[in-house]
Amino acid sequence: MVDSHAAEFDSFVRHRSPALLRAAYLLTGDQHLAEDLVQSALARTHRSWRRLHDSGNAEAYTRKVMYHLQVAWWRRGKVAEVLPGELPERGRGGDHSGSSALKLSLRAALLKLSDKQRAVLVLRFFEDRTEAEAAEVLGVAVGTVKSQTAKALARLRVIAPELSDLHAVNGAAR
Amino acid sequence: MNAPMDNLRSGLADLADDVNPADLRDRALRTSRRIGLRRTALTSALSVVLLGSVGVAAVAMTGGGGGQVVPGASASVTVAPPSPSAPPARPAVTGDHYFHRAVGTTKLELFVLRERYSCGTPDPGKCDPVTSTENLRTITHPADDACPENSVTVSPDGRQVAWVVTADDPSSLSGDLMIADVQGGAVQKRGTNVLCLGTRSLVWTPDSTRLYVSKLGNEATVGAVDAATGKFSPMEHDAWKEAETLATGPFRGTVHDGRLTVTKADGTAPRSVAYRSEHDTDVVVMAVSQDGRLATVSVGGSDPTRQLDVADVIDMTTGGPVEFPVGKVTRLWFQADGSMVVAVGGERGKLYRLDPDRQVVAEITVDRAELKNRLPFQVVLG
Repeated sequence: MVDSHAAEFDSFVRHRSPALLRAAYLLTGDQHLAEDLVQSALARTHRSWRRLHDSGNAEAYTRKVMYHLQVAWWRRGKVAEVLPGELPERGRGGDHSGSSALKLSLRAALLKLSDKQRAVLVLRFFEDRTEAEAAEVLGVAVGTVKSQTAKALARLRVIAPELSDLHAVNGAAR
Repeated sequence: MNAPMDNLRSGLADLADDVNPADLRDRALRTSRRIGLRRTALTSALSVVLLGSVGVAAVAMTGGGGGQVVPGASASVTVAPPSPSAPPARPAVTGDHYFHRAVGTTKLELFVLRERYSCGTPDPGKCDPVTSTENLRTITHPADDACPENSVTVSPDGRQVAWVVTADDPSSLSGDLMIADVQGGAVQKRGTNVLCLGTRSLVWTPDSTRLYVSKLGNEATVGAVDAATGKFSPMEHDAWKEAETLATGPFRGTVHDGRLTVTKADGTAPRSVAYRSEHDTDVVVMAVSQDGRLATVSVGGSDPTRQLDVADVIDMTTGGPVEFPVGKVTRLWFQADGSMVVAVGGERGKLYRLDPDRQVVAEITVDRAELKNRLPFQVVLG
């Protein structure tokens, strides 16, 4: 039975880590910190694996832990440093470099948002969660998700006007 | 026409594509175990506090146990590194620690301290290392020649050793490249005008067949020397730097103008954090971990030698110095499996093997009296 649980956890990690890492990367802006975040969330999932697996809530629990840890880490100052102007002088010109520049701008802009603002954006527009679902993951009221989303989008317009194409229209609530 | 916020959705999805896949299974299990240990320690500490506050009579009746219980002091007993039951590193099980010792002014004796585990893998308190030190060959050199000591390097397969002896260079910056069997026997001259200064003057290729070197001639030249024939193949500087870096790890680093920068071996993907050395002295990056996350910075590096102590180990994701449970680290050797070997200030004669989370998995005691005050010049786990 123990071996069976271990194999199930291994399988869970193998199959869900890529998706968890993608969200964690948006939350932290850094490969290593993203790995740390997912690793920490998975470790807590492992502590409660039998209960979570039996109830089918493992992934939901892991994501919830990840978002909560991210908030805690941010408060401790564990964030990636933004490195404007220190990127490789490569690939200037053309659509590809334009897309890369946009990505870098988006990454830098996300890191300038507050922890909750970034979390609601990732939940709403990357994970495609409803406001109610995002509120449940973050453990806040739906009204908080609405207000944080609005503030995040407004702040993006100020700090990253070059991203206007990305956030030109306010998202309709679902 | 796009739906509202579709552009932001696709922008986030594109950005998320930048993350690289990682196998987090072992790391998650290690952290899980540590959380378990921490909870156990916390529970024990709380039990002790409860005993101390409500069970004084009971303690007195049983003879008081073993020492005073101070309520409140237990608040700091949540983590106890090094933990005797900390999980082992994904084990590079054996270890070879190479030392040298000057004898008089013309000889350098080489030794290897071998670290082995009878039960297969390090496990603090349960499976301690069995160490033995062997004499290797003795290098003979011109009187007061500093080149051999600064350049001597054992090949990755542990069979050959290379060093530089100054020949006709009065500045003692360069000399003849010598290669020999590490156990003894004849010495072969395999190059001339090879620089011997810096933190890594000779770097073996992973297959132990060639050495990356810099040569001092009419103009500086870099390239690779074939260890068997001595044939020197010049290389373009950037290609040489990349290859020389990759021989020991995927990343390299520099400190310049108050910034510590780590890049991939080819110089791309720079990550930079603010770094000022004490008194703004010149320093060098001595090593970067295999994942590029940690960089060791030397103390003032105006002396171009590899015998520099580590001033700081910097976490490149936060820019902050890394704390070690064993104390202030003065030397650090990163290993390919993410583990590391460190020496601690004021603790001569002892080395610590740490897992990738910097927890102690083994203490290695230098067992030869003549080496007690020396540090290894090279550490190879494998």
